[in-house]
Amino acid sequence: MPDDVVAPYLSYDKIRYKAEEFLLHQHPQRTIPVPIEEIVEFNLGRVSVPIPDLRRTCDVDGFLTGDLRSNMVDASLLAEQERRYRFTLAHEVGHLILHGDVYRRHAFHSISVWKAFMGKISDEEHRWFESHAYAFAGLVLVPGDDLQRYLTKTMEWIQRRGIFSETHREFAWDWIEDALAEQFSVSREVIHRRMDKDRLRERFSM
Amino acid sequence: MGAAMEGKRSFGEFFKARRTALGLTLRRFCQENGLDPGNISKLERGLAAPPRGEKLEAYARALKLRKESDEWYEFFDLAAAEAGRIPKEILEEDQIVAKLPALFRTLRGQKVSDEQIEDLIRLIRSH
Repeated sequence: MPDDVVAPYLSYDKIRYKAEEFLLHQHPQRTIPVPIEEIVEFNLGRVSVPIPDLRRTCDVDGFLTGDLRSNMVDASLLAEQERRYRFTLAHEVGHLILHGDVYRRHAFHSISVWKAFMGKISDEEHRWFESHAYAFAGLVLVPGDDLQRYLTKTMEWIQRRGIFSETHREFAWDWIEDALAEQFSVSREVIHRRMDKDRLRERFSM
Repeated sequence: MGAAMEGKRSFGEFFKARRTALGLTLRRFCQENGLDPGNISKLERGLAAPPRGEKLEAYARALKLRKESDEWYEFFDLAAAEAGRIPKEILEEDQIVAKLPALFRTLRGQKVSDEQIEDLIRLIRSH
């Protein structure tokens, strides 16, 4: 087994390209919200395994298994928190697409070897792995073109009602993020980060 | 999983194929029918024995099997064939290893403790 466990260098633009490529193959219809559950289960054939108390016990929402065939997810997340569950699935797809090669190179065959593998990943490398998967999940669930299109429509709607005035600017942006979160079926935080990354607040400011 | 090894579908494989053919994800199927995703997942993976009686009929209805159709009979035949099987409650080590996380870090981005690793292995072992 190779000694070093290093995250590949991936710029945000490269991850954007990978996310677009993924959507092109897996969801050419480009409907919103992106049906990530169907893509993962039906197209990719990945099984979701609900684990009771996973979050309380291990402080994780879910994870891609080492054989890359299933996603273990907290049972209450799957049953009760649809948006968070969707993001978890997209995040794990991100690991599969962006880091599958790394995992395959470091295949482990016993619990002790797995523990050693975990110990070899430095905090910095781990942050890179996670940051790639977060970016990928956001770009898959909230594709750039669609975000702009929905934002334009929502802005038009809100302007017609005179809500977007100087005095109500913060309130208006909050309202917009909530509305977009609903449309894309993600959390408001995901919309906020995607708008930051695409600099949409600056471009759409009045 | 004798049936699967002989080339026949197991009850769990039949169940999953039927659910998938309905275009329903595990979450959606369970939500629409008031079922527990954990139980259905175990059933589909052959880690729980098929139920009997009314519960089995409720599953057949949830899968929209037409009463007395070929699929209806196949569903009940497969359930009967596996009724006496004692599901493996405990996974072997190689099965656990395959299900360990490819990456494992807490929601707060911290490395997991040895205790959390042991807890995780215990959870995987029983699910």
